[in-house]
Amino acid sequence: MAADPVDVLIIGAGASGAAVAWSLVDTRMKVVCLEQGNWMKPAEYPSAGREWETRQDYSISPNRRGLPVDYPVNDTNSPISVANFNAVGGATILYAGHFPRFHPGDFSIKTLDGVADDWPIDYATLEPYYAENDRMMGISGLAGDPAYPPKNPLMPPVPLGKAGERLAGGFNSLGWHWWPSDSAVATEQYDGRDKCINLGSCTTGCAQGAKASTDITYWPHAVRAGVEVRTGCRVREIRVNDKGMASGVVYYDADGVEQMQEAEIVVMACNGVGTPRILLNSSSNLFPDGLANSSGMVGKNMMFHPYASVQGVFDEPLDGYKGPGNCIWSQEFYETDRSRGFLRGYTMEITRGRGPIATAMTGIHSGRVPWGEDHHRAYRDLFNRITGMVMICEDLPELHNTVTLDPDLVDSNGIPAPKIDYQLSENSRKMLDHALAKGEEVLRAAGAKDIITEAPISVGGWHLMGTARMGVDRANSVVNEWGRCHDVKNLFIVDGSIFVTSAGVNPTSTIQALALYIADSIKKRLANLFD
Amino acid sequence: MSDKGNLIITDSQLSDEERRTLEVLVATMIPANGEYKVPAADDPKIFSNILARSGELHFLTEALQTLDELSRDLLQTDFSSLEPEDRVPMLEEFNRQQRPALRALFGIASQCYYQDDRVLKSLGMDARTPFPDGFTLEQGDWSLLDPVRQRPKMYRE
Ligand SMILES: Cc1cc2nc3c(=O)[nH]c(=O)nc-3n(C[C@H](O)[C@H](O)[C@H](O)COP(=O)(O)OP(=O)(O)OC[C@H]3O[C@@H](n4cnc5c(N)ncnc54)[C@H](O)[C@@H]3O)c2cc1C
Repeated sequence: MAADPVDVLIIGAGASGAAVAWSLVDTRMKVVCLEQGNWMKPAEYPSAGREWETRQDYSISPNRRGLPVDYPVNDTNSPISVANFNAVGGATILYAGHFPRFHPGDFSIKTLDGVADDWPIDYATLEPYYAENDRMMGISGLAGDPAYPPKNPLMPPVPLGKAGERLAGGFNSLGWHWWPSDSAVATEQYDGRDKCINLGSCTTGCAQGAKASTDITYWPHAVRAGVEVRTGCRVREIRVNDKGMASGVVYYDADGVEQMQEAEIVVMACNGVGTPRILLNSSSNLFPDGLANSSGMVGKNMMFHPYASVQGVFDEPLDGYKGPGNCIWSQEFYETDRSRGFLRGYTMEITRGRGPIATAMTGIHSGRVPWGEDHHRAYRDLFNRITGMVMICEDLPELHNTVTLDPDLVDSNGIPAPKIDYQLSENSRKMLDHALAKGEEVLRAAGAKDIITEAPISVGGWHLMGTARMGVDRANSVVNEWGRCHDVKNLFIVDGSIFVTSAGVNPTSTIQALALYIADSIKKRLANLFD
Repeated sequence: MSDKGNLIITDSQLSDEERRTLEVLVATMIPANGEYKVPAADDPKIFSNILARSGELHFLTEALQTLDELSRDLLQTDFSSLEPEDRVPMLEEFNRQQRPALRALFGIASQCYYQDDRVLKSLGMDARTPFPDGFTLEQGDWSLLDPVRQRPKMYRE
């Protein structure tokens, strides 16, 4: 039996779903969010137990976790595998909380560098939404970064610690830029959240509640204002009526029973893999190639951000397992310099240290910790003595990097699972090489005696972007400049799928600013939304 | 289930012989150390955790059997009966043939080892959960930022 129709149906309760839901509450429309995962119980997060470094159920890989709320992803044809989390809060449950914005120039790289495409919107358009999102998420940092237009973080930055101090000295000795990271980690009590106590395990959920995952930021406000979140509900497809408008969704409820939920407006917030998956699973007579896909761009232009990791081994003890992974960053190599042999650039993000087991695994995988008598000495050479950085390389959109439906793989409800086909471009390879060299240079300048590298980070597909991109030309984009699908006038997409380009920074701040901007665009046009 | 001291050891898929081989193998990988006052990885508490996770290593039984065969071929005795000084060279020989398997086992053994209270204490850590007490992190010297503050605008419009 179909439930009563709702005004707005949001699919996905992650970073973007939470923001759009909260923003739409002041319309007084009936807003329902369907989320395949559940509410988290922070008291059960790994850092509240002794196995805090080894819990497989908090692995960043859905294929490793294999929980009932997860769907499998075939990423065997990609050098980078998908990382996500399926719960109220989405991947913000596990994210590190780095919270950079795009730069003004990131929205117009075709104009500036002759590559990819310009966005149909600019920094000035998003700026108020960035600020509003910072307020809702509670962002710490420091004003005055010369790499950005002025912005005002709400709390002091996360501590430098020994690692940050060491590396800051390295950057200074080379005359390179660095700045304390904008961070979703609260350094003071904020909106009911307690301040960071340096648990050191941000990426398995913050038991302290200092890290801004949306289950403890936007969602409590949205739910109090009347939004209904239905958990354990996995959407199979979006249905359309004979006028080509979305009529609602078919989903499986927590008991696995198929349900239909009708809606006036459908908003997709399932991330750069989950959203194209549903669109492709929603083909019909009117939309034989997948919903909203007359451009053929659904699932194309998948961008990940290839990551390089450069870690240094130092002589003296550093922060080790203590403190948030956020620390300082550098955008010395952010803007295009053609003499480097590649276009665009990257951010260097200092990752502080690692726990005892992560140290062992780093030692084993890099061949620095052997078995036998020498094991203990070699291990102690690394323990508390590793710090370094990851480099987030701007990934350029390419048609051949895709999300499609796997012909065989299905999730626990029998819904076809996504398949990723992704290749590193020549531009990315050159950028990664440059990043490795520069990372080593600054770590050596900071006093590192040994360097451990990886590029690309094979498990590092945590930024999922570009697979339903935004544009004014309906022939080569899926949504218009305010997030509405060109083909389906009551269907909106608010997650990372709509990115035109990826910039060289973590995406969540921009994903959420876009979600707030799209919600505002909806609110401003309510009288003639479907024209 | 079987008892070992006051520990309950969950039965694994391994025969007694394979279990013995595994015990000697992990103790060869991570031996006890008097200087640091740490046990070997075959310490009953640590080993029971390794056994509990051995199910993740689907190749384990076969790998242990192959190690014993190799040992018998080269030195006419099972791996667990080798003289201590012969074990590391034998593991190195085995590693040439079964590198991924051995590395995966080393990984699991290390994960169990570096969770043990005695080992953590010897590293100077409190044997406790990170939450709720957390840890202290020093602020560091923010004056290091002064030269960066002087830099002109770096971004493009
Ligand atoms: C380990 C890790 C570290 C990260 N670190 C950072 C960082 O430091 N900074 C940063 O900016 N970003 C980081 N990210 C990325 C960040 O988490 C994502 O960019 C962000 O969460 C994406 O928001 P979203 O709304 O697009 O999707 P998500 O947050 O992924 O939410 C999508 C939601 O949709 C639900 N869903 C999907 N399909 C269905 C369906 N069929 N039916 C019902 N529900 C469905 C999912 O269960 C999920 O909850 C990290 C991610 C990971 C995994």
